[in-house]
Amino acid sequence: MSQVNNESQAKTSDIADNMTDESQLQLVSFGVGSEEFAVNILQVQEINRMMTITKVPESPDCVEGVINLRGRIIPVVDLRKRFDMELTEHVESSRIIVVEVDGRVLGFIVDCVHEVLRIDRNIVEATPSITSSSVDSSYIMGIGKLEDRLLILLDLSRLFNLEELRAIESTVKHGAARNAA
Amino acid sequence: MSLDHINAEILLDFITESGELIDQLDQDLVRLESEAQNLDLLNQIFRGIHTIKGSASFLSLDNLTKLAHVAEDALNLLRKGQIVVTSQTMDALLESADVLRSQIDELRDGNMCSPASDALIEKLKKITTQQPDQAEQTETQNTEEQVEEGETPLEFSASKKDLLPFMVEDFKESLQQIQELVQQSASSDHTGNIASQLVDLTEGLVRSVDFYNIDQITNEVRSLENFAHKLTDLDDHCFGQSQPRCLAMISQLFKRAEALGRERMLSIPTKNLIDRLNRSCNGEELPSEQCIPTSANIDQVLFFDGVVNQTVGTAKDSDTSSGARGNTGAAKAEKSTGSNVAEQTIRVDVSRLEALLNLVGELVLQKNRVHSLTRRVKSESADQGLCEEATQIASDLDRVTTDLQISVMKTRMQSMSKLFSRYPRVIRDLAKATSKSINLQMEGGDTEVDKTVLEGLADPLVHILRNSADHGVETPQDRLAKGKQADGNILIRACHEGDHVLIEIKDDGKGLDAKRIGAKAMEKGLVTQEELEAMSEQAIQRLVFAPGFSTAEQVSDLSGRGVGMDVVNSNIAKLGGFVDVFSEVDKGTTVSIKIPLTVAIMHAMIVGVADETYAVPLPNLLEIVRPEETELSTIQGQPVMRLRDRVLPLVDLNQRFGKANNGKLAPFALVVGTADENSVGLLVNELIGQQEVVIKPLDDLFDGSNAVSGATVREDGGVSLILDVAALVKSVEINNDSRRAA
Repeated sequence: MSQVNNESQAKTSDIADNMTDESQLQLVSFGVGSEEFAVNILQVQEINRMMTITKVPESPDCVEGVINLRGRIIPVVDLRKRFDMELTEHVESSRIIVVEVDGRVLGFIVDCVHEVLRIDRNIVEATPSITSSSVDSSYIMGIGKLEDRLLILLDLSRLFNLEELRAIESTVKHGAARNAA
Repeated sequence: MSLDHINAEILLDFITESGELIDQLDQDLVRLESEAQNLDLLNQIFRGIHTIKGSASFLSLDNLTKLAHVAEDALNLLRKGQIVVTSQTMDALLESADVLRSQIDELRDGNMCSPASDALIEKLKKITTQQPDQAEQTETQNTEEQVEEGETPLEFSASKKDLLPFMVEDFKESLQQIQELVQQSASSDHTGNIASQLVDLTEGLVRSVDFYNIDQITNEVRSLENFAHKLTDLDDHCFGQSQPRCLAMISQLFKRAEALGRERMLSIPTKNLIDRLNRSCNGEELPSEQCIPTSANIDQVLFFDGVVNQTVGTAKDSDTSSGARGNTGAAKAEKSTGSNVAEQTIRVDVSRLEALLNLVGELVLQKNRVHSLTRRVKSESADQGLCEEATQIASDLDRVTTDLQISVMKTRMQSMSKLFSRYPRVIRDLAKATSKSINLQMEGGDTEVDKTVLEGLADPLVHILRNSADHGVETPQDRLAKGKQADGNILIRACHEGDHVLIEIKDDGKGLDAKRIGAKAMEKGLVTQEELEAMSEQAIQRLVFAPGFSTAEQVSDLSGRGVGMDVVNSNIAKLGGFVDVFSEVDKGTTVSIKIPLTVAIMHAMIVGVADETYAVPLPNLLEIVRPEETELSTIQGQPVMRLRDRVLPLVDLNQRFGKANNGKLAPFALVVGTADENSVGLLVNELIGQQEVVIKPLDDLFDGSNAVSGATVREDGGVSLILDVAALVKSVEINNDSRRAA
């Protein structure tokens, strides 16, 4: 087993121990594009319908804008943009999943939310060499092999790493500067 | 070693309390240097360190206790006058205050505090062994001189002195018994039993107080004896008048006994009390104005008969302190008065205040929504009554919300003295390091600002002060050569100005040399020759705020790393304030900072750009104009407009924020600017109105944005961004620079 997987166990075990069997993982699964992803339910604060998003000028590209979450202003990331997938209009089933990652609260847009499910830890495999075409394997914590489908377990702290999001921004900016020149 | 064994709450209390004590200590120590003879001050310092030591040893924080202990020893000798305040002593003591502070900081971070360096402990120990001889003598002298207010020292013969402790003990014991009997006599039906016991006791007491040979005490005790003798004959009225007076008398006698133990005589004016007690015991009817009300307690009786002249609460206060001051020393007295004061205030967790402020922020938003609803009702409803009622409610809500907001803001206000208190130390150290002599004056320490503002001001002010002391004030030789006093002066002053706070740091040093600044700025590529020539002297002086600017030829340890004033400027701008500098060569430099009282709520103009709305901070908004087609033009690709006799660069926000606007220019230009003379025109599509907005921070993710500084929630629950005017103005300048370079 990889180190990444051990970490995830350590993270969830603290709180989950009392409620669930240690061998079980409780996840929220959702769809973006043609793929199905899942995140640990302990990281999820709430799931909202789409709401008005205010664009912030000169912000990283994948950041859709900010929303008012009961008086708190939080950034919202479009996962399609983050994964460089084809962009579509937000649809009726689109949701904003609000998560807490490394002390920051942010939301991300998904095409639809499927279900809350429990899976056995031992059916989760460390990132295999063959991963989905669209997602960088470093954001993947593991692959959950269900009977009929595969679940991609996302590593949110890497996916929404501040430095990395900013790095995207800076390349965008440099590009813009070059264009201007 | 970990901190696990300590109750977290107690530890937190300790950290807070000690932190405050050390702040105070720092201040007092610096003061002590100039007022070496100030015994009160020394005592205060001693008590502070003593308290820290006590609490630390209770929490078994050994490293902290050890340092506090040696420092306390040194202070104790200072206090007793066995050693004198020297520069070395002060250095060692100040250093120990620093180490104590860092130890407490370590605790705050959840680590065990590390031990103080041996060198420091040695230094402190050396102080204590400085002059061990004449110790004994001075000590006794000092105790003899300590006479509390309202006391006269008594001279007893040697044989009496030996007996004194015993006699005082006996005195108190008899008083105790008499007190109990007098209290019982109230409820019992004047049976002869209690009376005869009282007679025995009081007669014994009268004999024993002869020992002291003080008439007043004898008279007081005699009046008690008189009461005992007459007790059985007293009617209800006389009893009601005399019995409480007896108890009052006894309470005062207890105090006398206490004082006698210390060979002191208390001056308590008991003449009225004795007189009235005796008369009522003799069956005389007292004139009504001398009658105490029934059910009066001892304090009231004492007050009534003029024994004490304070109100009940404070009378008690002074009693406890004078009682405690006896053998346990002044520390206890301080504590007892201190605890009474503490009841006036309570410590509240900052997070609770933050939560409260957030709620008020929400309320302001809701209030704005009610207002917009009212406007709709007014325009859509024909019902006159309904309109009036809605307006009434809206204006009431407005008033209550505003009051509430002010009250909550006030709870977060802290006085500037909290910052000021650190500066004498800063200046002292700096003056010492640069061998200058500097007087620091501080004014307006009681000016209150929001906690966030205060915290944001801390670093910039130290920077400016250091600059003034290091670069501004000259060495004494230079000053004398220029015909100034050898001592340099720095004045730091804070005052309110509307809803802003104005802080000025003024020195009488060498001032800013515009020529040198200009040359330096050119050398660093901050300005060009032509630009420099066009600049006013003050504009050149302002270049010190430009990033990467530092004129000090010798970069010192203390300041002059070339980031100072730049950081000051950006930190102050972050708080929504302005910083400015005004200087005259050889006369001095004044740096002034203007900063809003609070950073949580501000007035803003709401504008529409394409489909979004933005808030423009009102302090930044200079005017609003509607540019005519003929006034618009471009200079080197930069759109500009002619505004009276000036050329104003324009920023089309549609374009800037990447919104299509059919190639047309937006109709309104908001002329915005910051304190330095630069201003730009922001083109917007729509003016929505002036509003009070609650500032919400944006995620760190948006730090890179050069256009917005925060966000606020609209009446409809949506988010509007707050424009960062300073950054927008700056971006136009940079644009111009790069264009010129190209």
